[in-house]
Parts: sequence; structure tokens; C-alpha cells
Amino acid sequence: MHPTRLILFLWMFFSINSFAQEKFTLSGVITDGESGETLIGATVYVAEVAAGTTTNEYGFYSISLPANQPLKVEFSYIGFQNSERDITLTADQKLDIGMGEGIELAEVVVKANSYQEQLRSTEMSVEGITTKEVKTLPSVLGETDILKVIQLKPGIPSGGEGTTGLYVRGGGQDQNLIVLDEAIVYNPNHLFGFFSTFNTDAVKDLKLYKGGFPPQYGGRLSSVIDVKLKEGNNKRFSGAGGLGIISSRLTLEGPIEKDKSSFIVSGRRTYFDLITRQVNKANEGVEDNQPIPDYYFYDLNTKINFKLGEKDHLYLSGYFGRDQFGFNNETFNFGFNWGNVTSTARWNHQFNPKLFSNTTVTFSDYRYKISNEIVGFSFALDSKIRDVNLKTDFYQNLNSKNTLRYGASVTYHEFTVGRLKAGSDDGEISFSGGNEFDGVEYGLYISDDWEASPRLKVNGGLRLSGFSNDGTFYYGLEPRVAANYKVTNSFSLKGSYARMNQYVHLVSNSGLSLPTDVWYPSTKLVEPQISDQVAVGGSALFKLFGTEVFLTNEYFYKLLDKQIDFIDGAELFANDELEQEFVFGDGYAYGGEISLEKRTGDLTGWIGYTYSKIRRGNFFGPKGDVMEGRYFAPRYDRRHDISIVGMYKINERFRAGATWVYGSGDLSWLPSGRFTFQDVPGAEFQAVVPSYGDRNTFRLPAFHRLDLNLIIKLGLKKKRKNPNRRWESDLTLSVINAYDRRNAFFIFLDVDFAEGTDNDGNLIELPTGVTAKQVSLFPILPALTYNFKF
Amino acid sequence: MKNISLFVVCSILLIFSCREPIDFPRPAHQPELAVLAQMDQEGASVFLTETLDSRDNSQSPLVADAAVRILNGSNEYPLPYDTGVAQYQSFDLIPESGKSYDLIIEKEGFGTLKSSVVMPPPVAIENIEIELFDSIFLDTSRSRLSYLFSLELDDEFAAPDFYEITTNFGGFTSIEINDTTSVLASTRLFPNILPAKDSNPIELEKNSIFFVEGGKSSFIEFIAEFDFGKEEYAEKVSITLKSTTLDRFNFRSSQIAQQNADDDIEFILNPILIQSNIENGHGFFEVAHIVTIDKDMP
Repeated sequence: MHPTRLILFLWMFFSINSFAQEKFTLSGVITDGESGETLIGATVYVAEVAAGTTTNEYGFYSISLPANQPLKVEFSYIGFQNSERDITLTADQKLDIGMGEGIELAEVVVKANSYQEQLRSTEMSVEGITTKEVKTLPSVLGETDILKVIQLKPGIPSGGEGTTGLYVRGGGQDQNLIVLDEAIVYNPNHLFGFFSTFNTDAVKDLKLYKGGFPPQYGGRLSSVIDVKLKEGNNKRFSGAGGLGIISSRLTLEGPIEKDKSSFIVSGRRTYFDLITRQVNKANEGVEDNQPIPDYYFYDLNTKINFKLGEKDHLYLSGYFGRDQFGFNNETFNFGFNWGNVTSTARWNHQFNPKLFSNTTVTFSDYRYKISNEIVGFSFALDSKIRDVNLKTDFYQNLNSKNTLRYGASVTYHEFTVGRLKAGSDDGEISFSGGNEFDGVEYGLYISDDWEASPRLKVNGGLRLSGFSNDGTFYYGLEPRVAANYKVTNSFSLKGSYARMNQYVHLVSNSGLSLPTDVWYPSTKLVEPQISDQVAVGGSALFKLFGTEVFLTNEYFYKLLDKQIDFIDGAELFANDELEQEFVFGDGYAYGGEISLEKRTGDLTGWIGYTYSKIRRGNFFGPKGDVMEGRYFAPRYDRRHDISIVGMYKINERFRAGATWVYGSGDLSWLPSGRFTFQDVPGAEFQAVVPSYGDRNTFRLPAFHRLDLNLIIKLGLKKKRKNPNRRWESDLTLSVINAYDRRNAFFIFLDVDFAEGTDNDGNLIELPTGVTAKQVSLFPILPALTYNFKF
Repeated sequence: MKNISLFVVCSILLIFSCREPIDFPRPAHQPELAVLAQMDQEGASVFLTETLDSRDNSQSPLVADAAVRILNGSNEYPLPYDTGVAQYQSFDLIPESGKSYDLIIEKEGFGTLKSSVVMPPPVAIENIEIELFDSIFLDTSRSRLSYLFSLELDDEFAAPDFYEITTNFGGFTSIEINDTTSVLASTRLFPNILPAKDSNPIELEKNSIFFVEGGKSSFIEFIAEFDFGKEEYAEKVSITLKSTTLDRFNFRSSQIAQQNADDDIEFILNPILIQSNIENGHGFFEVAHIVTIDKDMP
């Protein structure tokens, strides 16, 4: 078609509804009336014309409505009383709404209107969680953790106890894009995955996409976890915190200028090291005393925001977190630390009622360092990845049937891979190694949310991404489409397709996600990873035993290409030729997820089940192949995953929570046999050699665990006497692993020995047998936390 | 430590762990053959065993009834089983440099094992000098003597791909050569790692192995240290230069890596597999031209 005719056709197509009836635009920002926090995903609905929309990530909404017609606009959001306004539009109108907290809804999560929005929306394969739910559910050692709770949703298995990785729909642990206020967080974990880096008191919203990725997201294949920090109460000074057995936290927020600017500061720190230091000090000088190692972590979230007039808003936020492990004695000085630093500067600008923009500059730094000094010798190993990103997004309400989103981003990456320095103090011995890279990643996207008919909504878009590094340039087109067909008011069908490209990769030869894993760029040899994912499913709202429940059922199929693995026996440590150890192949994953939610009444919660199968193979590289290119299951190929989550309001004072999870055991690569070499010339080690068959053929025992908690509200009598009393507190008792299930962290084969004698009568240790043993991490773990807010 | 960072992380995790025996279903083990075969300019020998289930702690059964032979073009050399040394051997086979040899092993129930190698040329040494480099008194009864060995190679002859240097006294402490990129060193601390370009001399632990890439360096110096007691002293030293292949370096360094792997962290790394050049079996067929030079100690 001739370009001019094409443009004319598109203009007519998009304008046709505008010509049919005069319309004006209602726009504004929806906030929490008490704190001034913008509300993400708040629903705006006009029943008379069956038109609706939701607020974007910045609390902004824009909707085209008929002119000169009395309309009732309903605003709703989880946990808030619905708000209604009667309007008659005679021109574009700005209407900001401050939502009031529902008196009867304050303690109960109600999702009725958001269910309607889910039934209407083209979004699928997405999970969200509120901080209220997180605080009701059991927590490890009293630390509520939003990232741990989201893993209770179907399709999001974790790597297991003591590990940090997320393996979403068959994807690897590096295939998750985790952003905090739009800055990438490369390692979102403290203490090897026991806790995440997200302080629940500072988080406003968390959304996890497992598929159907909107075009504004790119750079990872398998999931997007978008975490938004609170902005700070711009009405009054307030705070919250908690004292636990291993850590404490405090959040302070308030206006800088009421209704115009505010701040929030939220920090956490463990204090186990303060106790161990005192113990070590007391034991100084004791013979054969071995000092207890030091460990602590801290994180700090800070944010300030300024309303620069009616159309502009500026936000500045930062995250600083670190884990520090140390061990010192007279001869040994060992340190191991890792952590993230992120900062974000964001400017929102409203050009007009139909056009809103967000421009962000972010900085992100993740690094770890291991150092050791012994007498006369020192050693230091560190790796880091550092990003600077500039992006801009536009949100345009084209007409009542079309909402456009478009934008661009550019990220500069700096990689330091395995920088090693070792040597003697006198300089006689020295060794160094490591590599440094940099690269630039680009993204350009456009999408349209199109209401094709009252029943059919389609979101179609395209993302163009690229990466350049040292003269090598890659690019990829990423089509994205999602559709929603509303069969009835309580049943809808959905489908989506998304192609993703990934240009940075996690180097890990372990089956776990550890802080020492290293990020590596695409290079001439290492091509970008690619995925294509199709998902279909449906949602239904219905009554079960007289109670309203929401059912979601999805099926997905994902193809993975240019996957990276390692040649058997790969040497990753201080290897300047790391790429030679890589092999490249492909894979696929498919499965189904079903979830049943109940959000009304005293008992709320959900049951989720996931079935999935994952295969990877066809791996070849510079040094050879893996299993002659045959396909195999990765360690995280868990066939079944079940989670049962319940929250029960016993009465005004007591609330209980419980979670039970079950998962098929991870796969393990254990030796199937053993053999003996005769003395190998030049060798001075045992001649017994384990022989391994195909990768990952042993399945560990199933993983299951029950966690319980009880929340006891304090000071209720005082509150009744003085309803304006601001201080609220509770005691939370948590028990993790309530029936003391010893889940396998890993299994190994251990040789048993007995004393015997050799031919000359000398005492030696003789092997008598081999036993399979499992190592497990979590015993039953109780915890007590005092929480407060004012 | 093979992987310091992983060792550290897992040690921390394992502080909190507990261990207990467990029984879980595993597929039955299918026995295979494991081979250690060597061939040099004096003949060939093959040591053959059967694999066992990993939970079976018996001695690996020797295999004495296989048909073992080496082929070179149309020439066939059978290796009969010698019960005295429990190996298949032949001293009739004198391999020639540059020629290809196939090891064939057949046994009922195990299929045919095969490995193909090319006989490398010998290392041509023009001159070796030894001088005392350093001496340290360890205690009243023992001393540590360090000797500097200087090897000058003859450029006129074709060099093998790689050659390995060992002495009858054991370990080396450092190597200095005129082309640092041509050494592969495998040590306990850094198995299978190329030395940094600015590192010369290259420091090694005792019992490290090092292979030199042939044809690149005509002059090598290395320091070896020996501990002697009051009544001990070596009047002669044997220096062995074994021309070999990169495959053998990978085999030897995978053995070192597998030996070094700590049981506690092996689970999370993909297991360290011993490099093999045997089709349909385990093990290694090594071919080398060995030159041993005896020198008087100064």
C-alpha cells in the first residue's frame, strides 16, 4: 500500500469513533487520601458507557467520555472505599481523587472491583501482592518479605531454601528483570536468599509478569518484577517499624511541604554480629578459642519527591544494601561482602489531559568482594556490574478505544568479571587476572491498547532492542500481543505472545543462585538469548459454597534459543578465557497453572498448582559439547508445585496466617558408578574415580513445608478510648517449618571408614561402605517480632 | 581450592546445615569398561577394569578376557593379558612419530571401545645445566635445597605439540621461559589455568604439573626444591621429558580438579568429569615419546 494511503487509513481508523460523538477527556491522579501516595492500578469505571481504565505506574489516568452527558464515575482500589463522582463534561477536565480507607475494609482485602478489571484487562500471566497481605503471612525469623510471598503464586517456584534464584516458567535464574523504582537490582537477596532486599515497609507495589510482557519491558526472557517504593506521606509525619530476634527496621516519612513534597527513609539491620563480637571479646585470650564469624546485613531506602506545579512532579530515590561476612584471628583476616546500590531520578510531566510522560535516569551497581590476608600473603577477588540508564515513556489516550504507549531507553553497562589479585607481601609471588567489558543496550517500543469491541480488547506492540559491545552489534525485533475476550461479566478468555531478547547473562556453574555469580555481556562469541512464549488461559468469578472465588487457569509454551551453559568441568574461577568454557544451545518449557482465590470474609487466601516440564540441549561450544547435544532436564525442572495460603481474622485482636508449599524435588547429577585407575604416572592421589551418566537424572525427595503465624494486636482498649490515637502495635509469632521437615538442600555420597591394618601391620582406614546423605538447612524456626506504626 | 568463592559461600551455608543418611530410589547401574592405556617408544600396556555401582565399595573387578589390539594402517598388534602385572601388554609394537594408532578393545556385553592417537616426536634436548640456587635449614636434621635447571632445546628437530617435564625428586616451585604464553600449568590452587602474561617466573606448588607448548620456547629454566635429611643426598637426578598432547593435559588437570573438589561443594557444581578419549568407555589412551636424561647433581 502506498505510504500516503496507509497514513490516511490509519488516521481515519483511529479517528472514526471521535468523529462519531464529541468526547472530552477526564484525567487526573488518584492517591491515598491519608498519605498522598499515588495508587497504581486503581480502577476508573463509567457504567453508563461501559468505559473504564486504570491508573498507570505513576497514579495517572486518562479516559475519553461523551460530552454533555451526566455520568457517574466510580473510582476503586483494593482496601479503599469506593469513591464516586457525578460529572458532565463540557471540556477536558482534571479530577484528582484522594481515596479514603474503607472502615470495614481496612482489615480485609477486598478485590471485587479489581476482579472486574482483571476480567476486562488484556494483562495476563501477571501476579501482584499487597503489603497488607505480606504482613499477614508467616515470615522467616520475623522478617516479612514481599519477594518470598510472591513466590507462593503459581508459576514462580524459588530455587529452594538457602538459595536466591527464581525460575519462572522454565527460565533460568538470570532471566528475571528485577527493577526497584525503575533501577535494575541484580541480586535481590540477603543472606543467600533467606531474605530479599525489599523492605516491606518501604514498598508500595510489586507486580510480577510471567508472560504477556508489555513492550515497555525488555532485556530478560522469563519474568519482570517491578517494585515501586512509596513516595512518603505528604500529609503528616508518620512511621513504622519492628523489633525482631535477628533484625530491626524503622521507616520514617512525612511532608517537606504539605501536599507538595515529602520524604521517606526506611532502614533495616541485623544485629547478630553485635552479640558475637561481645562473645569474642569475652573469650579473647582463652586457649584454643575460635572466634565466631561476623555476619550482618543492612539496607536503606530513601526517597524524596516534589510537586513542581500542576503538571510536573520530580522524584529522587536511592537504595543501599550490603551483606558483610568476616572472620578474623591472629593469623587470618577474611572478608566477604556483596551488595547493591541503586538510585533513580524521575520526572513526570503532563503535557495535556491525554498525554503524560515519564523520564527517568537510573544508576545501578552490584558487586561482591572476597578478600583474605594470612601471614605474608593476601588475596582479593571481586566482580561487579554497573549500569547507567536513561529512559522516557509516553502514555497517550488517543481516543476512547485506543491508548498508546511508546518510549525509548539506553543503558550503559560496565562489567568487571573475576578480577583477582593475589600475592605475597614481599612481592615475590604475584598473580592477577580478570576481564573488564562495557556495552550499551538500547530499546524502542510502541504499543496500543485497543478496545476492538465491548467484549474484545487487544494490546499489540513492538519493541526494537539492541546491544553493542566492542565493535559487535546485535539487535532484535520483539513483537508482543495480548488479547482478552470477555465471554460474560464473570468469565473471560485470554491469550498472549511475546518475544524477548536478553543481552546480559549470569555466569554460574552451580545449580544455585549465589552472590558470587557473575554477569557477562553478549560478545562476538556469546550471542543474545531469545525466547518466544505463547500463553492461553481464562479467568472466572463465581460462587463456591456460597463464597465468591476467582479462578485463573493458564497454559504456556516457551521456546528458548541461544541458551548458555558450561562445558563439563568448566573452570570459571579467575579464568581470563571464560568464553571458551561456554556452550550454546536451546530449550523449551511448557506447563499449566491454576489458582483459586478467595478475598472476602474472615478467611481469605489462595490455592495454586503448577505443572511444568523443562528441557535444554543441543549444547556445543569451543571446547566441545554436552551429552553429544542431547536434551536433558535442568536442576530446577520441578514437575509439580503446590501452594496453599490462608489468612484468618479470628477477631479484632487475633489474626492467623498459614502457608503450605509442596514441590517435586530438584534434580541432581550424582555418580551412577565408580571405577579405578591404576597408578597414573605423576599422580599422587587416589585412583577411585566416580563415573557420571547423563546430567540431572536423580530427583531429590519432594520439598514441603508448613509455616504458621499469629498476629496479636496490642493497645485495643486504648484505641477504643481514644480513636484518634495514632500509635498501633502488634506482636507477631512465626513458626517456619512447623512440622520440622528436613528438606534436602543437596545429596552426596559419603564413604564410611573403619580402622584396619595394611600388609605391614600399620593402622589404616579402610572403606566399608558408601551411604547417600542429604544436607538440609531449615529446622523448625520460631520467631517473635514487635511491630509498630504511628 | 578449586573455587574459592563457592567454597566460602557454601561453607557459610553449611554452618547452619544438618546431615542425615537417606535412602532414595536410583536407577540400576549399567557396568561399563574403564581403560588406562599407555604407549611409548618401547611398547604399549592397557589396564582394564569394570565400573561398579557408586554405592558398592568392592574392588573394581579386573577384566582379563577382553580382546585388545592396536592398529596402524594394515598392521595389527594384539596385546595379550599378562596375569603377573594384570595388564594387556605388547613390546613388539615400536610406534613411529607422526603415525596414527587405534586402540580397539572388545568384550562381550560391552561393545567395542576405541581410541585414536598420533605418536608425537621426541623432545630434542641440546644441553642441560644444573646449579644450586638456594639452601635453607629446615631444622637440625633436614635442609631444603633449591636447584636451577636450565634446558636448551634443539631447534633443528620437529617439536611435539606439548611436552611434560618431571624429575624423580618430585615438585617444582617455579618456571621461567622465554615465551610465557606457551605453558599450561595445573596446580592445586589454579587448575587448568594459563599463566598471566605478566607473570614470569610462574610459581607452582609442589606436585604441580606443567606442560610446555612445543616449538615456541627454545630455552627453559625451572627451579625445583628437594628436602634432604642428614644422611640423604642425591648424586644424580633423572629428568623426564615426555612429548604428549593437549588431551593428556586436559586429562591430568581434570584428575587434579576432581581430586581437589571438596565433597561439600561438589553437589552444586556440575561434577568434575575426568576427560576421556575413549569412545564407548571411560579412561584415557596416552601416547608419548619419553626421554629421560640422568645428570649429576652439583
